[in-house]
Amino acid sequence: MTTSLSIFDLWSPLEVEQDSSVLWQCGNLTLYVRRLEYDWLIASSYADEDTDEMRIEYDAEFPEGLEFQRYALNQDTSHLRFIPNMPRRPLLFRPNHPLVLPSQAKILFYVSIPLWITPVLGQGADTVVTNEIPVKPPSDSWFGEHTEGQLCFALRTFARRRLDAFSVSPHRAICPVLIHNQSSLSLDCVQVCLRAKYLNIYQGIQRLWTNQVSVHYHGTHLLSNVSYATKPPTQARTPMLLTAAIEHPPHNFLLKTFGLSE
Amino acid sequence: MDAKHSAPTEAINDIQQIFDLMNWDNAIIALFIAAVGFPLIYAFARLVRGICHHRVSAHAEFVWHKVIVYAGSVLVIITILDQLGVKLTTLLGAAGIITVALGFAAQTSLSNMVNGIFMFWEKPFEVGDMVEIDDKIGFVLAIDMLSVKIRMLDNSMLRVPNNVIAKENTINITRFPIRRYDLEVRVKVDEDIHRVMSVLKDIAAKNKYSLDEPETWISLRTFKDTHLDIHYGVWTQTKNYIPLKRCLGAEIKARFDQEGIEIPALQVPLCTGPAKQA
Repeated sequence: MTTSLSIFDLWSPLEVEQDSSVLWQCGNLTLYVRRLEYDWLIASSYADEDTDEMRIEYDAEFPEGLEFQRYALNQDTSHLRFIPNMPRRPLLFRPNHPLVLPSQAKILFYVSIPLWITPVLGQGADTVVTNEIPVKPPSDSWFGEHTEGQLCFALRTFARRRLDAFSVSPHRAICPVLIHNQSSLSLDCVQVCLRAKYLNIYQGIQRLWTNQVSVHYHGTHLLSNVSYATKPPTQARTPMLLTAAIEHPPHNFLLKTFGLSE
Repeated sequence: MDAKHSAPTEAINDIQQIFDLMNWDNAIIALFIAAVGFPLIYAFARLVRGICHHRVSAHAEFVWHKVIVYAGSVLVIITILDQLGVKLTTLLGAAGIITVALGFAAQTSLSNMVNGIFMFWEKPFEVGDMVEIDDKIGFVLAIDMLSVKIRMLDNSMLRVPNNVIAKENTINITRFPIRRYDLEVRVKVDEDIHRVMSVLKDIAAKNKYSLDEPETWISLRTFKDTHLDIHYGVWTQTKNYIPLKRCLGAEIKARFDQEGIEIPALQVPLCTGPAKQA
């Protein structure tokens, strides 16, 4: 049985009968879940071509060769939910052209962040949180010096000034990033490092959003002041919190955020 | 008969005299110091090692353990000798002479020890690091007073004297968190160099061990009559260096076959000459 879906149906709780299965697709990622007595089997696969397709299908035929992971539960449950998450590692992205921001200038970017999905079994005290699975296999990247730095995920979509540059996608959340150059020199940056673990995920009218990140740049040798908004972005209009941040962000902290052009 | 019995009797008398002269109170105190001192030193060393565990490097943990055990043991021995009434100045004098004699006899060992001490301060590598010494690659298992023990990649053990490490170039492969894997890719001279470079860039981008940043290094190194040599450097996390090395070559070959890019092979023209008349 295939259900016609709106973008937010993916995150609604599902009921799975014993010895039944569910196929759940969000973009490139398809999850295959089968419920046995006390045990659940979960496998995943990726589409070869990029797609924005969404699908929830009960008792669908699963392809052969899937590698299932077995979750043994204390108590039998029929509840299944898929929760969108932010990646735990920082994200490294580039503006579509090297960014030159004059002194005292302030600009707002939008960054489209691919989600990580966590299948959650059961409810209340007996909830079992399974592995986080990226909607698209991520690519590793490095932010910092060759001798010292931070392992990141590469964000292969560019940061954009206009929101309509992004298509409405079920497997991505939009993060508004405000950059304020408070130094006396212009900011000439080629990379921006975003700590996604501090971001909440909100359900807006059309798409998923995260809270806004504000970066105040003070100069080449200084770290930037980074603050994460505690409220949802105004662009989300009627936002509803879907997933809280992995870590609570410090109020206003200093971080190396920009990779400067040499 | 009397003469036969006189020697053992004298020896017994001598021992008796020593026992008579010995201050039994001091001997018991010395015994007590030994019985309590040595276990205490070992317990303290173990405690320090436990505290250091996960706070400092495995090498520093190992060295501090040894320093506490050796220094503590020397202190206990000196205290015991002092308690027994042994004059330490005489003993130290004798020890000096013995040290000089030993120094001549065991020059290499002493040199190894001195280099070991320098190595401790310089810290070119630590226990667990992957190193290349004298063209041999392996993981540092232990850094001892005389030598460094290395577990080779084939799981054999290599003992390298500290002297050799001081003289040879030592490469610490795992010192920094990221590394570049360099290889030379050879293609036929008539291949479109820009297309080859873009294919190589795509191979790196699709490889699961490679890093997007720092950017993959691709440059034309040599330009020969028959072939072009391209310097291809792919960045990876240090822990993924060997998996990358293992798969990248095969990926290049498969992709080049798919794209129709030729890797030049040695071609030997065979000339049979004119057929001989029978």
